[in-house]
Amino acid sequence: MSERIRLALIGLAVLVAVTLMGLAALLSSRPLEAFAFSVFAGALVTSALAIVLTRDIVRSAMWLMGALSSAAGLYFLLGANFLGVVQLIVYAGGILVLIVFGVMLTGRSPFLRFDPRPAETALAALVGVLLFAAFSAVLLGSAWPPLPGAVPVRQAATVREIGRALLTDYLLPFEVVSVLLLAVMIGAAYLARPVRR
Amino acid sequence: MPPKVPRPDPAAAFIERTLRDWRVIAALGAVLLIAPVPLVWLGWPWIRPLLESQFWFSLILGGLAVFIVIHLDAAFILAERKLSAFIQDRKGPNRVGFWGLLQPVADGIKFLLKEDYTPKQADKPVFILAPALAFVISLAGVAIIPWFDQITWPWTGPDGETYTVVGQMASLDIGLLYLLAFGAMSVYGVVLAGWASNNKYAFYGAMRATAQMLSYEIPLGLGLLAVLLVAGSVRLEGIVESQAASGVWNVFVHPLAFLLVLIAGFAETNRAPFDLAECEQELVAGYHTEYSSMKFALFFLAEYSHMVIGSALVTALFLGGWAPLPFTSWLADNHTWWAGLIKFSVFWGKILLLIGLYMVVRWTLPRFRFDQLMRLAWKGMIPLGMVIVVVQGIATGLGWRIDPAAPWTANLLAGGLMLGINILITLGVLWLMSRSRAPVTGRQDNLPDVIVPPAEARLAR
Amino acid sequence: MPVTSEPAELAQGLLLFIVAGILMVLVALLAGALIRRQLHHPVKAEAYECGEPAIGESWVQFDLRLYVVALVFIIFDVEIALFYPWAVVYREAGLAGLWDMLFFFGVLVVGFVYLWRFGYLDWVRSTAGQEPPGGSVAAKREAA
Repeated sequence: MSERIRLALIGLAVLVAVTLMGLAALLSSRPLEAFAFSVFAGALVTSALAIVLTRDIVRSAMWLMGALSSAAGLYFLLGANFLGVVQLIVYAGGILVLIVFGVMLTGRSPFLRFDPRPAETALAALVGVLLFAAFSAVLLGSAWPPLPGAVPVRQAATVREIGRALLTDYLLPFEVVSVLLLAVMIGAAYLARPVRR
Repeated sequence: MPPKVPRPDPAAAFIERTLRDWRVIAALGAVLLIAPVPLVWLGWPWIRPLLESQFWFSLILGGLAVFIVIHLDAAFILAERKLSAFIQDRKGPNRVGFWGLLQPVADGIKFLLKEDYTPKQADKPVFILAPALAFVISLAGVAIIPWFDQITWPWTGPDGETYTVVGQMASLDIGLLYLLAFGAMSVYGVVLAGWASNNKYAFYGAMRATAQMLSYEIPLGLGLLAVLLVAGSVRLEGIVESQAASGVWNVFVHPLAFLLVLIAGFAETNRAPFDLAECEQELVAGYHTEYSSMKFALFFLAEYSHMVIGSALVTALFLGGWAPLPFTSWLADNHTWWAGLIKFSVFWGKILLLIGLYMVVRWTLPRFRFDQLMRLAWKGMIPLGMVIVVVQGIATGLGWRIDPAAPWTANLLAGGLMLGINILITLGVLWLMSRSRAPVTGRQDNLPDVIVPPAEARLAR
Repeated sequence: MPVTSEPAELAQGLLLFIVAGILMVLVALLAGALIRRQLHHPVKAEAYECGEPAIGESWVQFDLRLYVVALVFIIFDVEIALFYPWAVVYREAGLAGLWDMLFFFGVLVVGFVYLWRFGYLDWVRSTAGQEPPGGSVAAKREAA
């Protein structure tokens, strides 16, 4: 696939997203919220497509930033403020920097431009389809019980709830995470050990 | 025969003379200050409902804050040059306007008119995206700063109802994390600029800046955590209100956490003594070497906006936010419009003082070397931050904290204890520092050793 | 009591902010482009590397130490993000919360001490992390 076709595909995705956005906002009973949702969702889909279709790795990482931030926007829209902020801090601010560093540190290796073989593309597509099927199955299979009355999301202090849960029901996982982080820290040190001459 | 000096154009000379006249500047300032008054008076029937609704008031407030930030940025360029001139015993800009007061205008025009070049080896879309990203992200913090607590308007509605609005755009239960998140995101402007320029100096600058901003993000987070532990409120405006109610600002009882956040703030803005990302002597201009014209201006504005937002954060967390005077709760329960105006101005006054500090520090201290910078972060500020968090946790668990409802003797005791702990930690750090006689890091091992004679021997000689 | 923000409010506000930011940047970049004069010259499009013609690209391999900084940063980042909810409910939880936190913190301090002890926190590792050939400078000073 040439670069031009890929760009055209990205453009098409943007167009579709924008159209859907307008329609959704018009049809909804809460147009502002619907509009916000469609913008974030459109941005998410577009950047996700662009990640796959761009061959330049740094640009791909840039699109990944767009995708992660739009996902954070969706979390904010759902009222999951803590999750959204953690998504921004850890993924967009941390993991992605790591990826960008990793890419830049590999320098002029074949990695800077990413040209997968057809077999790799097929494998990735297969995994993608399987994941999509699994998610769809879960999504369609779950019963969505109507919420008992109007839940006062407005007053919900999500951080407080999460903190309480961390100190009561999820205390053990919370402490185990620290051991996991310790393992990561020592693993990072091992990777970076000075090369003995 | 001396070279012939061309006679100045009389029209240009007249314009120059006029612009340098202080009366012209004063008249311009007066017009700019008075112009909104008739506009507000004429549009009052339309403006009043906007002021009554929290949604529109938030928008107006946010717009006003962004407006102030951007225009202050321009003024800071002049202020910084004047201050540096004062520190270095020079005059500073004094050609454009009376006392150089029109310099920001001239700078703005220059930024607009300069040629805008994208080097041919650059990655063009990323090259354009980077300054835009840096600028937009630097302004995101405006939304959660509590500029004042609330205002009850003096007029009443048709049914005698009163209108109260809050001086903050968004009240979030994740306020501090939101600021941290956008602090972490601000790395991208720098790293993408350096990468897209495809210039070795820019790339080095970007890499240094990224490592530096990542390293100093951790002590910043630890310092914020320490405040959060004592504040007992999740929301930024709650932290400010508790300080205003008791009159004991956090800086008096937690000076170490204040220093930690302040220094990390210096480092996050990439200014001297932490300006390794753009140090002229080594890296030309660092990550923005290839940028010119308005794109360069966006980086410049981003740096100064970071300063403003960082100062606003420090003000809200440690300096009592909008509280006008320490050790009293004056104006804390006054919600009239003039009290709101005073609080708003006090908040900005504190920000300006802190920015003055930023500038003085920049023109006083020499730049760190990169290994010193990393050592300060990883071996100085992060361990210190961890100690502060643990000690603060224990102290809060024991109930040593400022409570506006408690009698003042109890508060005095708790505050004194906290201050004492801080002094003890400081003494401990100083003791450790005096003990460690580590060799200068960064020496190459093929250099001859430096034999330092003991102090007595040097004195004897 | 200040109003708590509605969940959707933050997302809408951010959206508004992003749109306003893009508009401001566009105006800033385009206003100049409309009025300025561009005098093109091939030399202006060169990379500025102190007047020397640039040799090769700058997209070269960089130091691995930066990667380690980023890795350790993420660990502490996650730690701070996890501590935040803990700090919020700490007052209610009392001393039990303190013990939980001290355990969590203690495990991380073990890792931190490991990094420190074996010199991974030293930026310049050639002399600081290991003994230079002729013994450490400190040892020589002792001898002298």
